[in-house]
Amino acid sequence: MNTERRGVSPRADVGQLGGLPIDPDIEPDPQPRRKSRWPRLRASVVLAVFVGGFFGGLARYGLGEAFPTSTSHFPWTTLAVNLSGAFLLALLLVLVLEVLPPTRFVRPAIGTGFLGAYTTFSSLAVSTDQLAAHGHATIAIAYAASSLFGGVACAALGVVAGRSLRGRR
Amino acid sequence: MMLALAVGLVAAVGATSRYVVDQFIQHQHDSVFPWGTFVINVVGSFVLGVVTGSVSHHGLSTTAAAILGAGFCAGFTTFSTWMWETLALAESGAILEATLNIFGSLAIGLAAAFAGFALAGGI
Repeated sequence: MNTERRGVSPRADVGQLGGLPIDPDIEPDPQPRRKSRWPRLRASVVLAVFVGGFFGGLARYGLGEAFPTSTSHFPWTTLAVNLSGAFLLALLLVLVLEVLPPTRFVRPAIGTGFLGAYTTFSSLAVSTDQLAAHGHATIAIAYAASSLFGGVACAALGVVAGRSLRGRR
Repeated sequence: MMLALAVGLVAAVGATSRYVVDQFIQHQHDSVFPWGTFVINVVGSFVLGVVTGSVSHHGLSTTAAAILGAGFCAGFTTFSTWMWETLALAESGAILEATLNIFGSLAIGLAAAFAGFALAGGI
């Protein structure tokens, strides 16, 4: 499932006909038209991602500076950031998709921008490799496993929490 | 303080790049598999491997490493969307794709990070 697909107009593939005016008298093409290969990007939505990404990156970096972990120890800060972000994104997306009325900027700013930049995959991959390479294979396995299973569990918890709010409305 | 702002700004560039790259990749295929996030996370892990290896082997400054690594790579890659898409696949009944997404992303991400580190280390 593409988390960013919502908000694209159902007519997104119309108007991609090389700029030719569409003649309303022509019978519609009976074959369903393939979707365009080029996404339609709105400048305001891209800007929302940028602003959210700034604060998400700043929050993650700030937590990393406040609670530093050495490269030979379990990366608790990154794990806490990733698990809390997985919970919050699932909660947000259930609220946006199933509970609240449609909005244009909440998902790109808070979901794609803030929570996307707040959480990180690359640090998980590199830290796991580095722990294993420096003789801390047990910590590496524990870190990868707690990220994977903890991440799925936190995201599931976020979905359940969001749906329980729907039930109360 | 200035470094934190620089990391935040570069993370914003990373997040914006992720949005644009994901939108583009998701328009190139019709499968349910989230190729966009998969490619983004693997590429970002490779680049962070290069950055980390450059600190160890080529004396890249920790300031540059923070901006490129904690800024760009961490802002570009995402854990939360990876988990959400895995869960969404599982909930829609695409159990095979969900399993491949979670374990495949990690396995190939680890390999990509290792390859980046090895490349920077001159192996």
